[in-house]
Amino acid sequence: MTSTPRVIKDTTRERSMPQSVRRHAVRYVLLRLTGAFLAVLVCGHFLVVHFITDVADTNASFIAVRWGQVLWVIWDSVMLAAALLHGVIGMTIAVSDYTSGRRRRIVSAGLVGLTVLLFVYGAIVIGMGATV
Amino acid sequence: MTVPQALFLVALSLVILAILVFVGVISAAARRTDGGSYFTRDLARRLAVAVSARSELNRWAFYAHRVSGAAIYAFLCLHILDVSLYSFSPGLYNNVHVLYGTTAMRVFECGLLVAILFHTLNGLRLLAIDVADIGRIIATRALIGVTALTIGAGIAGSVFILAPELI
Repeated sequence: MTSTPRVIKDTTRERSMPQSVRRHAVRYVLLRLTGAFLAVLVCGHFLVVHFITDVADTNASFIAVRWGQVLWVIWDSVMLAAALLHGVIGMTIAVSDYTSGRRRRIVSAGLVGLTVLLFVYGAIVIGMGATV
Repeated sequence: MTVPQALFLVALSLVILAILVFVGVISAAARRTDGGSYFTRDLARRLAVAVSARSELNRWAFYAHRVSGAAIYAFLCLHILDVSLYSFSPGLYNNVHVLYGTTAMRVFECGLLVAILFHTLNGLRLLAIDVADIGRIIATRALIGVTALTIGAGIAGSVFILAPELI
């Protein structure tokens, strides 16, 4: 009955992390990694479309010029992916605080589905619009 | 007003409604788990204590982070849809985009700026807490800085965004 703590510790260390723990660890790192990217990407985006250019002038010809440049096509693509990933992780964490059981699974699946759709749609839009 | 513009405004209303619903959910949960966080005289008295002792500020930062995050996510969903109109036709995009230059939308954009500023700065603070292990007192001071920067840059930026309407 009284196995020594040392033996228990060693076996748990050798065993790999449980699936749920690993999933949470990946989610935790991804949320912060995408957040660090977005601190630059989103603030830069807002700076360009509201301060350097007035929002009234960010019309179709503004997009046409920007999506003819490699920098902005890459910027917008990375921002689309990072923002949606950051958003869906954050929203799922928040939702899991206020729901439980079946409802939690349904709302989370809905958020993931919506985000995947938006990502695919947005990627197609950038792919069609880019003229580099 | 054209049909796409009307649809955009309906979608924008849904975004604002979603944000308000989320604020309601957070408030109700906060009331339940924290036992009351309304702006009462009691709360005002508690906020009057020394800065280093105001650990409850971190809880308010948590709520503000959630609300601003959900608001930005809700707007992001709409923003992807309205920019995507460019793929259908530049004219259609322009037709809806005209709304972004209106006074009402500029006010909304000021709100968006404040949300982005707070979420970014507070997010960097959370990153510092995790990575650099800055400790409770410095974290609270950083929060004061985050709030001051959000208010300062938010007001300055809002004046700039609204300037074409003000002049």
